[in-house]
Amino acid sequence: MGGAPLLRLARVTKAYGHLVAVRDLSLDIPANEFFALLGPSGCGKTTLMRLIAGFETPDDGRIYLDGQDITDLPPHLRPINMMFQSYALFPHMSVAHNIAFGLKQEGRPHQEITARVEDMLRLVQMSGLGDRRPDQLSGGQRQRVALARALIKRPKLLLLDEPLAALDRKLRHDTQFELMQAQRETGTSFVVVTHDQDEAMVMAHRMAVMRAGAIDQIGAPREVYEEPATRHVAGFVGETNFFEGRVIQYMPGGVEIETGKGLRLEALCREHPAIGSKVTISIRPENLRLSVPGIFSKNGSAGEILDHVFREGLSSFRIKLETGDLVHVRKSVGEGGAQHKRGERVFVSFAPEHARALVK
Amino acid sequence: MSARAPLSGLRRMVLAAPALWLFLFFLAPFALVLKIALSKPAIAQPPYEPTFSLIEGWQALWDKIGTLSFDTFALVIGDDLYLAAYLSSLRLAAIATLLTLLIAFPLSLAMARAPKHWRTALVMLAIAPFWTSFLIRIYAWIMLLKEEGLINKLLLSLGIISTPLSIFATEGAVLIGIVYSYLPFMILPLYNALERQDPSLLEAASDLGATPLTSFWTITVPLARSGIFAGLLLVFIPAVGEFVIPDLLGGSDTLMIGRTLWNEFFDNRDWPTASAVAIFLLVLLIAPLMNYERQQMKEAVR
Amino acid sequence: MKRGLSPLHLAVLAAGFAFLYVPIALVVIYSFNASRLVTVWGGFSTQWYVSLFANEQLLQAASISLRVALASAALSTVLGTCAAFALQRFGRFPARTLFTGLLYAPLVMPEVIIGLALLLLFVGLGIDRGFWTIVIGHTTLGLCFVAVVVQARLAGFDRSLEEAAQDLGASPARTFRAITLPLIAPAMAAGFLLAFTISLDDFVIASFTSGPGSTTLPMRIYSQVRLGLTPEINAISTLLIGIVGLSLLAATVINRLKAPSVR
Repeated sequence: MGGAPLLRLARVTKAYGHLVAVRDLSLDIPANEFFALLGPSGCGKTTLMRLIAGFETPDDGRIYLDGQDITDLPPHLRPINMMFQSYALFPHMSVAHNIAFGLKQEGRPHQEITARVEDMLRLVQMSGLGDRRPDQLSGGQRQRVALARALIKRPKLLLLDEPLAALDRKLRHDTQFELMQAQRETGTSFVVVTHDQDEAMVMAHRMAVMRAGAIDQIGAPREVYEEPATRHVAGFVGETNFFEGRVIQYMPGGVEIETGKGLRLEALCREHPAIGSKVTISIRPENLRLSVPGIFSKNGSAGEILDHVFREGLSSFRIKLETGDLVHVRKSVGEGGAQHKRGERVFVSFAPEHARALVK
Repeated sequence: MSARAPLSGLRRMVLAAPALWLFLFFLAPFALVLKIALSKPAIAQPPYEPTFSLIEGWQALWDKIGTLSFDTFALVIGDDLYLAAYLSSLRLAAIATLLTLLIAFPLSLAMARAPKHWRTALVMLAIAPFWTSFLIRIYAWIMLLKEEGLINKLLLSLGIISTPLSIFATEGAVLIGIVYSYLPFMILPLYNALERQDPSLLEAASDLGATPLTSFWTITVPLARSGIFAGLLLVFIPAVGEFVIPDLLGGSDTLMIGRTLWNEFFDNRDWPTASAVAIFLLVLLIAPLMNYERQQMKEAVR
Repeated sequence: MKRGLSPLHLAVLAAGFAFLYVPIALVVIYSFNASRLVTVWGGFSTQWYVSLFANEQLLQAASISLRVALASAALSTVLGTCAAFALQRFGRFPARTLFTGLLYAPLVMPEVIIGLALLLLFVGLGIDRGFWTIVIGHTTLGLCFVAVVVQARLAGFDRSLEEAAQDLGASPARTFRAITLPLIAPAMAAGFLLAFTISLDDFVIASFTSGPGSTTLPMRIYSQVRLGLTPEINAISTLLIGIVGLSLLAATVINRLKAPSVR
């Protein structure tokens, strides 16, 4: 890619009274990227988005767009547009007038506005509905009008605040792909703010997982899933099982820990925790193996299957280990997911290369 | 987002315009009321003394301040007439307020339980009389209640009574007038509180074995408490100081403090006494007023 | 609830609305009474309307009342809308509680007190009482009503509508004109109508603040009512009820046609 990133946040801080919403945060987003800001509510992702849009001014740090400092530029002068969570469609204007609003502010000639509004209506499959009022539209249609309105000025960057939150499940699924397509066709960088890790995993090229006003990890969805940097990331992105313990020895590329219940487990580790220090092992449910107990096996514990649920081709097991820990195991039918029954005793283990020992 | 930053120039103007208006024409005049209540009546224009003016110099002003006294207050407190007027105002306003509640509650409940598409129209209908002139509504009741009025005519012609009832020019007529005039003020908050209630609460209560009457007293009424309270204050406070209703519907013996104030002011031209009466009325209403304000602010936050 | 109205509810509604409307209806009906005695029906006639329009004093009072109402409603709408914005949008400013208190107090304060206080102010300042002093008195009351109505609308206002407009390139001033103003206009109109009606209706404050030559319509009606029942009052009442009824109806229809939700 080379050159300056499209958007650069340099050590941005924003506080409301004693509450620090965004703390010393830096972030680069290149052109033509679908980026997701993921985190639980209150993590600062909405504040971060409002800082980028210009509705808030940072207490400290600078914001650059295309190398230009836009920190002190008011929202109406920034070449950034936003799709609001509530959609914020103007209730007293028709669909076409809503979409045309941005171009009118630029003082574009009437004919150009009409033509471009038609184009946008086509893009979001709303042709012929330009005369409707927002309250005559379905939820999905409103969402598409909001998208069209935000895209018509061909912004360099489009911010989307929980774009799917107001849609029902089925519609959400389809809309995800429509958003990805819109991003590809316009070449605009999309920054989606969401608390739903599924959305981020499906749509984003890269994602940032936020907590307490800071970014825990940035990376491609798969990378974040497989190589979580912190315990928070591992728990927030996808399902996982945790084992807490103290480091007892180093292994090649990893560590061996002993949990409070005396279980000894090995896992890969990117950091170098001191012997005796506390770490947490994260192991995804699909990476846990089930075998017949009694046969010698390392890195695991015997347990009893408490529940067995079959859903979408996958068997999910809730297993109580002898140590008292509860673990989730997921197996596809091909992996023998159908063999095990409730009440059965099994041995649960994992390969060290599938697990991560996390220091933070 | 509530802005904690200092207000910008434009915002300061937007705030200052109504704030200055209210300060100048609502708050500041009360200081004058107090000052005149401390003055003595005089046969002059304006009819009180002293009148302050800086033309005569600071010393003269200071001397005049010394002549202010609580004599008028003492007079008002000492005179049984005023005390009787206060008590009678409170009594009539309280009775009328309760009567208003008794009429407004079933009406509001019926409105709130009406089918959804009826409700807006019903609310409009309930408030609409408030938009017609207050005097006209009182006039209507004079027409109805007088000795030769329509109610007596009707009852006589039906043979229900043989001699005309004398309701007009009694406290009863004043009560009717207050109830009728202030009914919309009671209906509105009550309706708002009742309409908000989830009907499934009553279904849940009856499912758990409550009779309709029990549900009414244990669910409907307690949940409407804020509305009841708001309605009571909204009717009671202005009713205490009412002038037109006792003047037009009441008899010469119907004592109400608003009427006393009016008479002192316009008929006796005793401005200091009228002012002192106003101050007492205000003191009397300060507690319910504060309550009302607190409620309004809570409502505004919500 | 799916059920319609129960008979009990229907009876309560019928009785309640009869209580509210029968007295007013009778005033209207008896305005067409040919008899000079208001409560004795003497056949249909419109003579009282004719004599009404010959009553110079009454017409002059009506014209003063209308002009006072227009002026004070306009002032109230501007000041009340400002107050509503201050309350709803300015966060915590100094003396906010005092300001809020001043705004709500006139809504319930007995009018004799407001009137007396204003009169003493005008006398104290040496201002001659007349048209403008009545306007000031009515504006003080009206602006509070406007503020309450507009504030309710602003409270339900989705701020992201304004942010969206700015985000799309509209300056704050343009945002106010293109988005905020059209969306609160119905509330401002309702507030204006309310302030107008209150002013047209007010007798007590006008009595304190008016001067020679500025007698308002309610003041005239009051002095006539004190003298006894006359069919002329019925006639003018009917006209007033008609005007208010029609404008209410118009307001409702306009509101129905174009009152977009602001949520």
